[in-house]
Amino acid sequence: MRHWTFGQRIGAGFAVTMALAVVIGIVAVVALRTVVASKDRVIDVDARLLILAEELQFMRETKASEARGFLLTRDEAYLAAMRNARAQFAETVERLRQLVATDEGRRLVDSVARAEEEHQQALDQVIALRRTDAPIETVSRAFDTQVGPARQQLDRDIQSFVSREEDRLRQAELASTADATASITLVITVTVVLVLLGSVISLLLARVIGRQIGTAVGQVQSSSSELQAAANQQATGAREQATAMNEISTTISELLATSRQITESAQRVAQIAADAVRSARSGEETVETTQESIAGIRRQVDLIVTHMLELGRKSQHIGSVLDIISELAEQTNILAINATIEAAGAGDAGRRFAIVADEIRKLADRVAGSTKEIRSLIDDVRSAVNTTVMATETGSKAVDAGSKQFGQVTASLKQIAGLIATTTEAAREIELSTKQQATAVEQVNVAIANVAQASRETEASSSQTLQTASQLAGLSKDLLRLVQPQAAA
Amino acid sequence: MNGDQRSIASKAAELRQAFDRSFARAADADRPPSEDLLAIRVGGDAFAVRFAEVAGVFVDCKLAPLPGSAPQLIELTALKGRVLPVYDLGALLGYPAAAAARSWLVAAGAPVALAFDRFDGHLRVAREAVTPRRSADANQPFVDEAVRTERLIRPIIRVASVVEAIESLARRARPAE
Repeated sequence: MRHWTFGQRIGAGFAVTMALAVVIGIVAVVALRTVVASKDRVIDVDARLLILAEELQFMRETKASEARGFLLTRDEAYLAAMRNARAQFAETVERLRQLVATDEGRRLVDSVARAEEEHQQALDQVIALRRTDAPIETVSRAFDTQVGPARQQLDRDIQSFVSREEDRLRQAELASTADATASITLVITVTVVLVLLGSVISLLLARVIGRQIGTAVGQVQSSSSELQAAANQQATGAREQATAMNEISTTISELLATSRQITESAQRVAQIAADAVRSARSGEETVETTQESIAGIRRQVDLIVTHMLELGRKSQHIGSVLDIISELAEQTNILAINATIEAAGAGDAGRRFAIVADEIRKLADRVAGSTKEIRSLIDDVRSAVNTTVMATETGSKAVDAGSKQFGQVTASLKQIAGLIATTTEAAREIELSTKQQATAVEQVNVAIANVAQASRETEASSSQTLQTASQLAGLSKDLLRLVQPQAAA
Repeated sequence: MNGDQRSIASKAAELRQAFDRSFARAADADRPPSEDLLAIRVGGDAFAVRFAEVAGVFVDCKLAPLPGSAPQLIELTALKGRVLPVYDLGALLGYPAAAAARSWLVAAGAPVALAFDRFDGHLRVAREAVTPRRSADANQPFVDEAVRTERLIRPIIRVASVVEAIESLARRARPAE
């Protein structure tokens, strides 16, 4: 029992109390049953006997009244009602015989039955007289002389029985009252005893529990002080944590904004890179088209060079022909000069020949001049051809260089397109990663907001805990004062 | 038709007209007194030779080299059944020996041919254009006149003096033989 808990001890106390209450209840029930049985017997037997006796008196009067009705009217219906009333009288007498338990009672009932029989016999004689043509005065005297004494005897027997039953009822009531009084006394006695016993048990239980509760309350008081200190520290920590969480939340919000900006920038970079890829591909196509055009230009330049070289060769041929013409002109000129010299040597005879020779010489001079001009023109043409060939060769080299450069440009554009595609992919990955990061940051922000909220709630809870600890300390003191006043003092 | 073609056409017409005029003009039409000269190049300088001192002009004729002779005598040629010595006119005039003189002339009245660098053509100038040189030049011993043309002044080589110089050279070389 020393190691019982408070609940077990209080439960045991309540169990004892309940057992005492059950004992009280059993005693009360037994007492009540005794009282009830006594009362039932008074009500079911004595009172019923008295009522039946009263009914006997009523039925005797009913039977006499019906008989007088016949005697007055000679109506058979009154006789039937009289017989019915007599049957009920007999039935009531029979029920009385069953209920009466004493010899005295049975003797009185037999006496009533005999008196009723005698009364009926007297009444039957008068009724028979009435059926005759006897005068009413005769019937009336016969009724007074024969039926009157029988009726008085019957009334006396019924009254004796009633008086006896009334005495028995009073005696039964007194006995029942005595039983009730005894039961009340018993219940009060048992109750007092059990209350005293319960009080002793309660006092013992209160002392034991109070001592243990006092010890526990002391521990609770100590613990509540420690809890108060811990709650103070927890509230301070929660407050600092809430402040830190707010700062972290602000930082995370800025980080989220930065992530969104990075996402938007990455989207723009991806868009620009996609545009650049399209531009690079367009440029690549343009460069390829230009390269084809350059190849066509190269073919045309080669054709021009071929034609120019052919033109140079033809010019060279013309020059050769002109050399021949020039030489012929020179020889003609020489011949004309020699002819002029010969004509001058011939004197007057050669004058006319000298004129012809002079004309020939002039013509040769003019031919020589023309050939010089033609040669100059041919030289100009050849120079122009050479210049053109050189220019076209330079142009061809430039076209080759341009073609190579365009090839390099094409390769560079392809490389640029590849790099831009890589950049686009990287930008999209950055965009996706940044979106995931933003989502994660949002989740972190939400989690931090929740943590901040939890910190605030913890702070509030800590404050409440502190308040509760303070109240608990106060309550511990109050409880200790209630349990152990000397210790609390 | 552009400008060049028009110029060529007009020049052809002009030549045609001049050629036709030569037949239409009278043979003894009055002409101012003139001098006929040969314009030649010697050592890169321009010279002139009178028609009257020349028996003929030849260009790119076959020549036979003549080694071991005088430095002025460079080759031999055959002309109209005669073998003629060809002298370097530039060497005679005091120029350094030329690589190859392809033109030459035959002096009138002497069996000698003179080679020069280039034949420029025939000059017919007014007689007033021929002027004597004021002072003799030691570097050009065979020149005592000059002719003024439109672009330059050509000294006139006196072929007779050149022939005399050749003959003098020949006389100096003969005793050695």
